Amino acid sequence: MALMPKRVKFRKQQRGKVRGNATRGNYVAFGEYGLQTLEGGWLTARQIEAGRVAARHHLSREGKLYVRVFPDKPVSKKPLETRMGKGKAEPEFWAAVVKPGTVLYEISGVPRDLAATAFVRVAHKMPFRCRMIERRAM
Amino acid sequence: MAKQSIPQLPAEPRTQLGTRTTRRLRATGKVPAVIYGHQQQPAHVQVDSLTALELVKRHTHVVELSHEGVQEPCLIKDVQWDHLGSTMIHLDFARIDLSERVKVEVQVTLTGEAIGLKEAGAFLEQPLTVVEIECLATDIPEKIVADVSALGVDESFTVAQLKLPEGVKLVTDGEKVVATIQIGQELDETTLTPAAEGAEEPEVIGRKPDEEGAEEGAEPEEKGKEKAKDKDKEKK
Repeated sequence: MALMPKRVKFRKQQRGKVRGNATRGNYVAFGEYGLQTLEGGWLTARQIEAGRVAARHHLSREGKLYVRVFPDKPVSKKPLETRMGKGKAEPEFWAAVVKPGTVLYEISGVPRDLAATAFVRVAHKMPFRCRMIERRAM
Repeated sequence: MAKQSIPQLPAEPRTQLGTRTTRRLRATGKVPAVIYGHQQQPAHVQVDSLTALELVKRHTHVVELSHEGVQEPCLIKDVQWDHLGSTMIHLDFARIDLSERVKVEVQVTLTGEAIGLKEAGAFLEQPLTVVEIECLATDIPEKIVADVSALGVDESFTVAQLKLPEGVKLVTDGEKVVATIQIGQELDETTLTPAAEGAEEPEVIGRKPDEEGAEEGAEPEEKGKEKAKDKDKEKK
């Protein structure tokens, strides 16, 4: 398990629904280029880590990579061949709730073409359609 | 920097307000906007979205708005974007006098090949891309250029080091870092897969560790009971 909170108020959460669009975290804030999701859903800690590794590997030592999402939602799953009932199952993995427009990763300190190729590799690891965006002036 | 002519932006008055009307308005290629300031009543207007977008992309600050036969110099005070940041949904214009001093945010661009970048793994980071300045409305520079060619590794270029055009005063704190050169991390196994070890579950706030252990310990018994019940049913 890669990313998860250190302390939580409750061990389990209800599933909820991903409604609406991103109103926060939807612009490039730290780097020069960002990877923006065009769809909503859950992004698991493993997927976030896979994207981070793919980008870091492609950039080697160059530039700075920012991960803008954090998996703070515990998702529980019943074990196989278990009967229904007997209460809510144990948390299986952690996920980040992502809405359309959320910036997932940011890169700074590298040329545009290198950032673009890195984001193509990251986008392949993502469960959503993504696009690269640049920092906006106003 | 040579003074540029103020671009014209035709605006039409907007009589019908509200969510539905503005949505319909955007579908026709217009953007809703508001003009306020100078102790006058705010005016609701609509402008052409493509023209406005072009002006914003060119970092234009002052425009001459023409509406109802009046020409007013205005400052683009705020731009609202959609969730993807690609379409403008609203514009704020503030009435100004061309002889008054205004506070605006201006883009900072870096030039020059820094000395520190010759070292292996070094990269140029720009934590600050806009600075707030105060100047005459007619003297707003398009951008402020920072020459970072003398910057070495672990050195910073601060706001105070920026060379500003005449008559322009900085509002942003001078100690803020505009650009810095850093050395990238070494690539090894730990940087690729960190935090693999450690607790499998986070600590629950307000719960003692004994309670957590007790709850976890109770589960296998329940599962055992369930299996036993299943076996009994099969026998029957």
